[in-house]
Amino acid sequence: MPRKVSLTVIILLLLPLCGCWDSRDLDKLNFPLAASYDLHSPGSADPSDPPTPPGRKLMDVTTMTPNLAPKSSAPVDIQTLSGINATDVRQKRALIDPDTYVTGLLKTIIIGEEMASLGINPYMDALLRGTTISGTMYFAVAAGRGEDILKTPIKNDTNIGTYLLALFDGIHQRTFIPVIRLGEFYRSQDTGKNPVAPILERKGDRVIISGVAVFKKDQMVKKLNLEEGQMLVLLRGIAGESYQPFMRNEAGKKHWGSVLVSNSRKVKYYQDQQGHNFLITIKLTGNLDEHSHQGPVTEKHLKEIEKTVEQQVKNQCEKFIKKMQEEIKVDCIDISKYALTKNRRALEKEIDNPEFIQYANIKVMVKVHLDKTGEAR
Amino acid sequence: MRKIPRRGEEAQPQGGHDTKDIPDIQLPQGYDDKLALLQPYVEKNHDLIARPFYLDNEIKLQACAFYFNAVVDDKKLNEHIFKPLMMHSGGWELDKFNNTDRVDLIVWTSISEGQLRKTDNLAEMVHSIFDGMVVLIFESIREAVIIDIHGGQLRAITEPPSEKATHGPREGFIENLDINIGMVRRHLRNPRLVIKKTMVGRRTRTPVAVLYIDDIVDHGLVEQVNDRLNHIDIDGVFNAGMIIQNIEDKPFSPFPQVWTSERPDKTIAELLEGRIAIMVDGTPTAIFLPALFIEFFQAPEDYLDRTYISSFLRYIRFLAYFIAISLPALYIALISFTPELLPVNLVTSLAQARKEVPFPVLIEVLIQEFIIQKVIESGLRLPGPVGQTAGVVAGIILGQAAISAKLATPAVIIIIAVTTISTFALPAGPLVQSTRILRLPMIFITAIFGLFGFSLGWIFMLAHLCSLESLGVPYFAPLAPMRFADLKDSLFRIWLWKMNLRPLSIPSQQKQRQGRTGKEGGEGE
Amino acid sequence: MNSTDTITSKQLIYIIIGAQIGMGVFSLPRLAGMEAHQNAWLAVFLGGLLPFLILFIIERLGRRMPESGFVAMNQLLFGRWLGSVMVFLFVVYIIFFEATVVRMFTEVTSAFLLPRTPLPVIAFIAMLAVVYAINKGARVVARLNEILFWIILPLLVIIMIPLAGADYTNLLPVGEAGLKSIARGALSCSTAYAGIEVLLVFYFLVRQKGEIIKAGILGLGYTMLVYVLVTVICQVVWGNNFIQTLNWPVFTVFKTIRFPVLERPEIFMLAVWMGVGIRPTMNMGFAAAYSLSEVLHVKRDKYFHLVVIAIALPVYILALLPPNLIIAFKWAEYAGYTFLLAGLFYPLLMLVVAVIRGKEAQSA
Repeated sequence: MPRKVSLTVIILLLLPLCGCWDSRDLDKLNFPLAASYDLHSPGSADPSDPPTPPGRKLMDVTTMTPNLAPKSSAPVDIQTLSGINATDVRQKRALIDPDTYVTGLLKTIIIGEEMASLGINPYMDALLRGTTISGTMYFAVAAGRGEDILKTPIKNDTNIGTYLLALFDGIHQRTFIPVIRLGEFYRSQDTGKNPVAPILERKGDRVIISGVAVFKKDQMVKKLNLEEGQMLVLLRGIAGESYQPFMRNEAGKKHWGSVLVSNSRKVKYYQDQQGHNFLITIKLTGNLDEHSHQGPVTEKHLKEIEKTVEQQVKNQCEKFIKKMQEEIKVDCIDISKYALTKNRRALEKEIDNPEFIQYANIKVMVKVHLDKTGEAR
Repeated sequence: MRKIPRRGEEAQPQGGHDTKDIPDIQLPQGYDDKLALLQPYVEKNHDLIARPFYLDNEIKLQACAFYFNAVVDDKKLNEHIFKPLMMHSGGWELDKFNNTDRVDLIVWTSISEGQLRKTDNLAEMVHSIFDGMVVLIFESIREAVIIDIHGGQLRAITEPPSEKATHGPREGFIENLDINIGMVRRHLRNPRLVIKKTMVGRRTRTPVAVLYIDDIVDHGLVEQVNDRLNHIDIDGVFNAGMIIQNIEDKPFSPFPQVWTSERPDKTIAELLEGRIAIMVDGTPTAIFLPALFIEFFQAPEDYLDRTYISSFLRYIRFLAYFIAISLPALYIALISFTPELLPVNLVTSLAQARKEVPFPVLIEVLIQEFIIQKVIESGLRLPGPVGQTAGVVAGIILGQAAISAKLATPAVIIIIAVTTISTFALPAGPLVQSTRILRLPMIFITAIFGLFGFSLGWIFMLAHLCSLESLGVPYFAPLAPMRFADLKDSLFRIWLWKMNLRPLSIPSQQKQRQGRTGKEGGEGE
Repeated sequence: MNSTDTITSKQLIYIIIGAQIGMGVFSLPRLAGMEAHQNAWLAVFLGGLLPFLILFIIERLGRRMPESGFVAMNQLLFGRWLGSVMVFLFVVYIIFFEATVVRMFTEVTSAFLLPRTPLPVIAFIAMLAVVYAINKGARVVARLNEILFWIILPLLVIIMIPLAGADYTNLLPVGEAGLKSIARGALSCSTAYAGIEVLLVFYFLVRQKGEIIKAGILGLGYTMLVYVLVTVICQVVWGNNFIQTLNWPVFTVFKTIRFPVLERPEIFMLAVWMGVGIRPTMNMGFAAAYSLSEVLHVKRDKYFHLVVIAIALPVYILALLPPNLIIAFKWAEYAGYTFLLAGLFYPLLMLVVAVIRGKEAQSA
């Protein structure tokens, strides 16, 4: 009998539980595949154009959602709204869009150049706190406004969201360019580290990666061009694979060619009277992919090519380090952390000062190893 | 409520042999007295034949045979009983022997039939008649002779349709208990094979046989089985299923707690693992106790195939079970709670399809689920080819029509179809049935709580599985309690020559099955 | 001792693991890194030595009085009334501790899975599963622990995925945080190992008493391994400074793992989520319910479920008392300190009394 009573009680208790509080119907949802954060500009597409509160710049959030309604003419729906912060914008979205946003499906976030130079952490907290937000979302900086990137009427893919996703996915296997995800962006703001991000630029109806943005913590300090970006990847030790063209003189004749190499990096750090010394060893391994030299490639040739590439990469790296130390004054090649491994407590306070990287002695060694020559000899 | 004796509890037989309405008295000497006593049973049964005759000897002893038409074997009756008794039972002097010897003499010399016994009890005699024996009574002899010459038409031995194996023996049990036992005996020629018969059912008096191998089985279990059989208090038993329902441990559970099979080869394998088999007359099914959950994933041909193939198939079945129970639930959880966890392209295309359907996902799934259940049910009842056609037609047309009528998205059709296919990929019928039901609570709880509900449902299921016992043996073994040695034949099916120990999960006297003595099995729970 | 309430020494391993690894592990890297910074894993390792001490104390105690269960032991050592009061206090401790576990479970569920579902509902559902399992007795609890251990094991593999691209410099230099702060970190980490005290109750239920120490060491060793591993992973993935800004760093690590087909491996985590949450609550809850039913001389078969509900109800109410997450974390911290009291000093006290009273107590 008590068994029956308790069973009844449990069933009665269960009745009010049938709430389905969190159930959302898939057809009432919107999936923003890409979003951009910009500082508010009066000309933005927000229909309401809200007033700016004192002491804070408004932000424009642009979202791109694929249009899923059965008989709609537009393939995507791009909206720009302004607000104090990202969540403020979210509440305004309810006024113009019947569907709920699933922020968890956001795959790419683009930060406008202006906001990036101002420092983005004040505007990004919603992305850190949101429990559904993916930590593997791609993070990029726009040349100009992010809004424009999203509004590009792209032709070579279904929509800009899937295009960007496809562009960034596996780009490490195609070229040396730093691609960063949201989680990495946050963790690269730790002491002694600084994030870098790719720069997206609109060229007509295309969106291309046009450079690399160097951050000092959450603030963009410098835009690098693609060549410098390549060196940055090599020096930073972001594993990738790419072609390296070279030019070689042989008996007064110029030979052009390129090698397909993957990279790795090792950093040695020691401190002495001269201050902080870093020795970066970049190792490139791969194969010869193109060589205008007719006739069989001998081992001597291969060695020479290796030497040539070594010298060439080393020069470029040194040039880049010089620029970094004199111009950027931010450790964008991720070596300060090795100083911390020796003496974290003492260095923690000064490691992020521009002087630390400025006066550090950084040496680069490049080792190239080619083991294949392809099908031809 | 049904009562099952627990281990240690004293057995109190409650029914089984209902002899109340037949007086339990000794038979009288006189022929006419006996006829008078039998009269009430004879006159109401027109198919009961009473055939009087004289024994072929000097004093022309009067006798009568009682039997039911078409229950006994007519040929045997004529050739082995009537003919010798009426024509060749002379040559000896009855008067020189006393009563007992006289009946023995008749039996020894004049009845050329093997199975017979004698009785001087009225109740037993009447029951014997109704059990389908031939009963002979004689003038001035107190005892009646009971001869078992069951006959009549029987079904041929064929392959069991519900337990088809791709290869291996094609023998299946039939409805006759003795022939079934014979099939087991024929293939298991071990003197230690014990067969005990009892009667179950107040009115049907169905013979039930308990089979086990004396030096393997745990006798505590045998005692329990006997206890439970004796405790069955039921009017009629005409199917093994009725026995099962009366002896399983947890009648409220959706899980099958005894394993059944229609195959003699499976029966022998189970007996050799130390299990007890129960066979019921009139059902081509043997019941095995104790059963383990994992057993329901073992198909008979597992032991005939190569090891890798069998092990792979086991995994397919585990996967099928998981899918059969949780795929619709998982679909609901992912679609209406956490679409973030799905790939972008999938979500967008699913959402696009969902826009066309007016129902919530739960209703959509339920509609399709019920439709498919009905298709299955209708296919079961309709005769063979018609049933198949109905299934296929219903499946294709209803699915297509549901999509074009915007009652369901293609995804749901796929989900339900895969689920159903997976359900029937399981080798054991009882498990299939329980899976069909278990899916529903899973669907509902995920519809309320999403993935959280999904994990909650599985926890409840696991807790329930862990708490189940079959004959006091942990049902979920060897997974919980974990018995690593038994995983050889549950998660994998390793080489037969490596299975040197009998399953530890099933208590047995003799752990060693074959081969040299290895490490004796670990501790039990 | 009822036959439904005996377990094997192997099952004890799983029970200890299940009682220890619960919600604490999700915030452990933050707790450990607070004082010990990059040496958090060292603190976790050192903190893990305390439960071994507790194990040895309980083992000594049990060896002295193998014939008496937890309640009988108390009543022998402290007298009938005081002993009962001690047991009662222990039950109260478990109720409090369990409440914090349930609350944390509810909070995490609410944060990551069911943001709109009210907390009382989630907590109720969780308690329902717990009550269902406890009600079935020690054997079922033990079996459930066994099977859940294997089901949850893949999570450990998944969380190791980010080790490949992680930044190991985050762990260096070793030992620089200083002995003092590592020790302080170790002390606060040792509270994350709470759960071993259920051995006080389970000791008597184990059939092979001789193997308890082995089982205990295995269980504690596994827990320690998992804790250190998880801490190291969080440290190398996030770096200590960032970890300090996260509520549940371990969960956040799961969010950064990428899987080819299923977008996010959190799904594995969430699909077995209930299993992660139920283990500690179930094990501790059973210990409490069993002790209470012994003190009150409740008939095991008939009214045990009432005792279970009597334990579960205060747990449920207490779990809902903290008004917000921050206070809930505070409560969890206090519960950790009470663990030191109930897990370390209480068995120690019992052992001391047992030694002092010596033969007198054993023969009584």
